[in-house]
Amino acid sequence: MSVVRSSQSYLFDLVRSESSSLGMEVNKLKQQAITGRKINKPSDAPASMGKIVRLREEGANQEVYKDNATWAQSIIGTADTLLGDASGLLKRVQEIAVAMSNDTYSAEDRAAAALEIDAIRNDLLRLSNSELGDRYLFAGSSFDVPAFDSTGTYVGDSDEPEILIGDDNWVQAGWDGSAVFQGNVDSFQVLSDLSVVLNANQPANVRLLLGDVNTALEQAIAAHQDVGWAYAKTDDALVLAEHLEVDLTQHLSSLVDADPAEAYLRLEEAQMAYSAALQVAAGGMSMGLFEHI
Amino acid sequence: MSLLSTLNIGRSGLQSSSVGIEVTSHNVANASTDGFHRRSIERSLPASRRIAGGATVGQGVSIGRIRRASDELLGMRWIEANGESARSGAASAGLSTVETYFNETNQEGVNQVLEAFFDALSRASADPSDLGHRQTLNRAGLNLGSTVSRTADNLVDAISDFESSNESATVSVNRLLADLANVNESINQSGDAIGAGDMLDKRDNLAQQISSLTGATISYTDNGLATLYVSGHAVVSGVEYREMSTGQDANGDQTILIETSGGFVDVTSQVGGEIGGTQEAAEKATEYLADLDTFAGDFATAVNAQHALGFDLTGTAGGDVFSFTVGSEARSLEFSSSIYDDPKQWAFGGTATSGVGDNTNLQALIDVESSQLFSSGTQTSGQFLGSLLSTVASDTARASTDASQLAAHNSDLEGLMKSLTSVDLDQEATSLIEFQAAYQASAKVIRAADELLQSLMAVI
Repeated sequence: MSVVRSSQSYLFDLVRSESSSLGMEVNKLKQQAITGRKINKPSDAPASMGKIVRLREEGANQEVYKDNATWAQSIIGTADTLLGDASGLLKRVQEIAVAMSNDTYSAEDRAAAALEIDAIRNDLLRLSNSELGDRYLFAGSSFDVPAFDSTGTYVGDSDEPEILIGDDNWVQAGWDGSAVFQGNVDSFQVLSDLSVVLNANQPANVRLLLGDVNTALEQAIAAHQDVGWAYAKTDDALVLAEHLEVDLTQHLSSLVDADPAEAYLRLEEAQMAYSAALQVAAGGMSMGLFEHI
Repeated sequence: MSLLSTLNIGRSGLQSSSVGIEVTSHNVANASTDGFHRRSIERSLPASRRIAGGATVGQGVSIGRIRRASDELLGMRWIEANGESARSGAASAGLSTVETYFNETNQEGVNQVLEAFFDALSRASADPSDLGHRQTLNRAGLNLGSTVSRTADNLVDAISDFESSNESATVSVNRLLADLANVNESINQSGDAIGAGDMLDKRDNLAQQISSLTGATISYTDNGLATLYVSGHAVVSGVEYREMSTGQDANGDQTILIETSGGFVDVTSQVGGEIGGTQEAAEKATEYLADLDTFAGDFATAVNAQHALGFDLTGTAGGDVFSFTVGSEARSLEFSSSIYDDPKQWAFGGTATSGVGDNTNLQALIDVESSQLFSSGTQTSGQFLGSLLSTVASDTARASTDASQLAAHNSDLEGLMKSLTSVDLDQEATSLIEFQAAYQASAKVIRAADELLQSLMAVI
């Protein structure tokens, strides 16, 4: 704009508008310095808002996935230990059955073995009714009640609950006990039958049961392996969620957060400009020639 | 009689300088008066007197007229720019207010509470039977319902405020239009008389105020009367004016009307100034509210429909999670008080006989987050709200940028106008000295003539 005359009204308006706009800039920078954010309202960065919302949503999701994966790991880790123990017990049953199928053992030996088999069956039943917190791990989705009654009858259900640990990534965190312990063969029934034939001192029948004993062991080992895979899956999910959370937070921070040093310097710069403008304005507000008349 | 003529010449000099000092004093006194145009005197030479021998001698000075500094073309451009600046400023201010209702830079925006709702559903998958998870989900649902309805209420209040503001503005406009018509009449009557300048200042001031409110443009008749146009309709013409008012269209939205001989003409989409800017902000807020209604209705319907397919911890089919009233979906969105009071009613199970840990329907409810329910099946609920937020942000930023640019343009024209027409104290001080010196010199001329006359009289 070319100004042909320097009228008082024009000068005062200029001082008013310039000092007002510089003052607003100082306030805006102060807000950034105080809040630590360079975006304090959506219109500060309209082009980035969609991205910011998505990053924030994804970041919040990772927090949930981490918590869920950690909880799932507790459940699966417990199941892993239990199934490891179950495999160990059935391995011992296999050893006893193989030994007692040999005709060299006496009736007393087999009676003693029967006692051990009974104890193992009780251990296996107790193990299959294990709970974490109030959650019976092998009762399917009916995990508020024990999976098996005292006779070894399954009272849970066949739904196997899953937990969300990533985008469309679910992990099994409860098992159908009837499939784990009674799938191909009823482990509890095999142990009961074994106890009966041992007490009856019938090595031939013990030999007949060896196949079922092996099957019970194999199904326990297979379930243990499946749980191991599930545990690894939660491990992967946890690592992924942690990495994503860090990446997303950094990305979000780069968009939203103000660099403290830059914010401070810009504030200093604006404050200096504001002070200078006020000083110049104050100096220029004299009566001019009238002072000399 | 040349000595008497000299006395007359001295008197004309005194008069001219005296009026000059008066005009200068008036200028100095009004140095800060808004809309004041500096005055100056135009002097002219009276007819010369022929003396013996045929030569002519000047007869002093006479005051032609008091001139008012002005630039009509620049003034018209400034009035137009003022209206545009006021429109964009009002739109920007209105949208900045609306923007705050979306609260997206803190933790209370609609996007955040929607995300928190789905997060709570995802957390419930860890143990669908856990009442703690269900209560967390209840709080998230309640917060989602109340945040959406509060945001919608705020938008409705904002629209109502905008409409009230425009109603008041039209009342002010009508008063100003009547004043301008009166001023036109005064100008018409005063012609070129001393004091007409004050009327012209008042005319331009009123035109500026009306333009600020309506975006009016101006033209002038040869005798200085203002003709004012709003959206192409002459609202002031000579001593006549037409009133503006507000009405409602078929949707119940506010309209801006101008009285005509046959009734009223709707100028809602063309009106400028603060009324136009406020109208623009109201229209945007109405659009945002419509989007929020779409979100609330479609989202609640989808969640309710999916929830109805599941079964709660007592084996009962799921009831409505959210309720709303058709036509005001966002304002009326409410989380189920029944589920809130009894979290067991969350229907996560797939069948009536499901175990407590069955989360078949919970998985389906979580999937609602990724369902493309909006924009003809192209956007999820989060994407739809994200688009709404982006629209709010870009509308507000654009309005702010427009307001800054147009304010700067208006300020430039105002500066140029003021530099041409308002008071420069240094210039007035110089004029004052000039007139003072001329006055003193004229007085000396009179004294010299008087002494000559005295000498002459002494000889007789």
